[in-house]
Amino acid sequence: MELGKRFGRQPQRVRPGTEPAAPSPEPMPEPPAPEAEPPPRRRGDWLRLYGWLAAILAAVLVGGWILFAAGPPTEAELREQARLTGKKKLLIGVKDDTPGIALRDKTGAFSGFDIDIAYMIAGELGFRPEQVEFLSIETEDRARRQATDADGNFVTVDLVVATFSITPGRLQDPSVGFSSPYLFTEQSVVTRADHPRVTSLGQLTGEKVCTLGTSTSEGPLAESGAKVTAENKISACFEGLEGHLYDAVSTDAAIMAGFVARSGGKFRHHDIGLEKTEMWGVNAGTNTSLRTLVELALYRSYADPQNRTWEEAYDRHIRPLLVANPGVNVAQSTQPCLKAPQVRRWPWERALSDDGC
Amino acid sequence: MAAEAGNTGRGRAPQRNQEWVLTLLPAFPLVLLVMRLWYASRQDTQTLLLLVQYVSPLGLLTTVLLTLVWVLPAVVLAGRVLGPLYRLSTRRSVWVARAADRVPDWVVAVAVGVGLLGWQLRFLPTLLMLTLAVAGLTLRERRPLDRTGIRAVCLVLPVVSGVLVLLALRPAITQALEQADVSTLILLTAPPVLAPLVTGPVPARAAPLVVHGLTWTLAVLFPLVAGAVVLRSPILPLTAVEIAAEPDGEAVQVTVGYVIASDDRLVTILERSGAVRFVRNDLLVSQVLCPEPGAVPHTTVHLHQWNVEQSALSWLAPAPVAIPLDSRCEGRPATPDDLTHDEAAVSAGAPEGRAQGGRRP
Repeated sequence: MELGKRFGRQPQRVRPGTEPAAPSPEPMPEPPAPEAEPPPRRRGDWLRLYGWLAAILAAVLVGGWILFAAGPPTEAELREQARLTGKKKLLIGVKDDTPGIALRDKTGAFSGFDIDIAYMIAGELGFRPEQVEFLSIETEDRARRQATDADGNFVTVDLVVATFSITPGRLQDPSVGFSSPYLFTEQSVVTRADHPRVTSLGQLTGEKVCTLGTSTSEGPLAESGAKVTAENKISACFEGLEGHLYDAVSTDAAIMAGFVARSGGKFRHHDIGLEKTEMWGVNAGTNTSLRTLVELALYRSYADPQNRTWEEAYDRHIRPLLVANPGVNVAQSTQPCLKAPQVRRWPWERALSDDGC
Repeated sequence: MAAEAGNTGRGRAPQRNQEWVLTLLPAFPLVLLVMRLWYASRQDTQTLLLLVQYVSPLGLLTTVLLTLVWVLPAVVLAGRVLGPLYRLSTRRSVWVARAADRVPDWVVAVAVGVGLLGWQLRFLPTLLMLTLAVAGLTLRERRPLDRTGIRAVCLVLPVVSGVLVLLALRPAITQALEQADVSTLILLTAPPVLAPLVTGPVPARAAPLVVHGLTWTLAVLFPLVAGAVVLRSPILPLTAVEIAAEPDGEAVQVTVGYVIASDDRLVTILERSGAVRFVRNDLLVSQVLCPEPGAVPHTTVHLHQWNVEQSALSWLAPAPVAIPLDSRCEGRPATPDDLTHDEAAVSAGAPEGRAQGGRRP
């Protein structure tokens, strides 16, 4: 092109007359590149150089940030990390003897609030109801995630949704990975109908009280001076209460409400006014990716106004029990608040409102 | 005159010698395609030969073309900025300047148009800055005496357009500030601010360093980035296939992989682990196309619902439908929820249906 030929052909010193002043005396002692420009032009040149250097620095910063600050993983990556792809069935450990929460009937089918929550979480993890297997788990095995199958063999389950309360002591255990709570309840006391009103644990001094082993109710009861027996299954406690083996049963109100409602007036439920809230959480063990996915499932249920799964589970299983348990806050009727987990989601999914907890 | 003739000879001969370089240009996409297949075969020669035999070249070209769409405007604009910048600053010529001279103005305009459509929103301020730099430098070279024109194009126009762009992007900038998204913030604010500073020459002593440094860095980076993008892009559709243990039996296994070839007897599947399987047609129960995980945007910064990581084309195009994930794509056999109406009829155990499906290639 003409420009290139013009510049390549002419000797270096002759320039097209950009500046009429100072044609021949060269202030800069550089023969190949004469700088005869007046000072204002030179200042502009140096300013432009700083501009170029700033642009290069910004480009390096941006490139480094984009390459190395990748951000949180996506849901698909979390599923791969949690080793869920290729898994035929999701094993969930649940209780099997708690009416209203998790009960197995004679056909082997499970039903209850915990079961509905487990199905909801499994659905968000990509498992249809036919691909979920429930296994009975006992109270002391919940931290170890050891459930028993139909033949009585011990099996390690992937998730534990079994009235597992979140406590500081259990949080210290490195093998326990709690999600955010999915239900709030409180400790209470159930006696036979002829027992006088119980308003605090101190009134049970000297009486035979049954509770669940390694549960959060064991400590306060022992301090109150009652004769505490720890059973492995809550149904054994209630059989003992009916058979006058025990005088009272004390554990979470939501666990006992179903037994009281089923008893047809034989049992009486007392609210003992303990300030401590029992927070039920899902134990995903050491699988942190699975824990994040469970959080995401619970968060979607909480934040999406069109997702009524939690409310429907409450209405189906816990609300019918409230009539038979007057005066006791069996379980709080709204899903506990939780923050959005660190997962990279599509823009249309991020439209869920975060109320802030 | 003699010096002119000598200079002319020196000026013309390199141009003639450089034309052979152009024949090497198509080699780069070819090398990328072969490397892409080698990547997909996980460095196994036998798998590579199988892929070469069956994979359609159109599928490979698609990814290369899509990558070139956004690389080409960058190359053209970078050449047309760096060449004249060197020449204006030092009054000497360099190979970048000579190459840039051959690019006519209409090609630059087309490149800017392609960049407007194909570049992500967060890179559009950079595109504006480069366009203004090209306009300013070209005007300074062609009409060096036109002081008012130079001042208008090199100073007033960048300032005004920078202010307008910053005003238009104000919602996105405030969001990036709130979220401490450093890269998006820099990409949206730095180019409009620096645009008035890149439309003219730099001091002659610094120009060789800046121009040569940038030229060689970009000459190394562009092929690397383009190669990295092409090597990671999918070339075959990802499908999940249910396989039975005996003909017309229940599905016992699900394989998620790429169907390379199928004839009337066997289907060749490249699993994600890299293994190649040849499965009999009558052992196939069902097949479904799985979505690739896709590029979930890293930032939530958006401008009126236009995410900054989306290009204009993908914003204007129909939005992808969010389909629920199929069990088979997760490696689990299908449940009745996953199967569509006609799929269920085939796998529910109708032997006539499956036999016909098996015999069809």
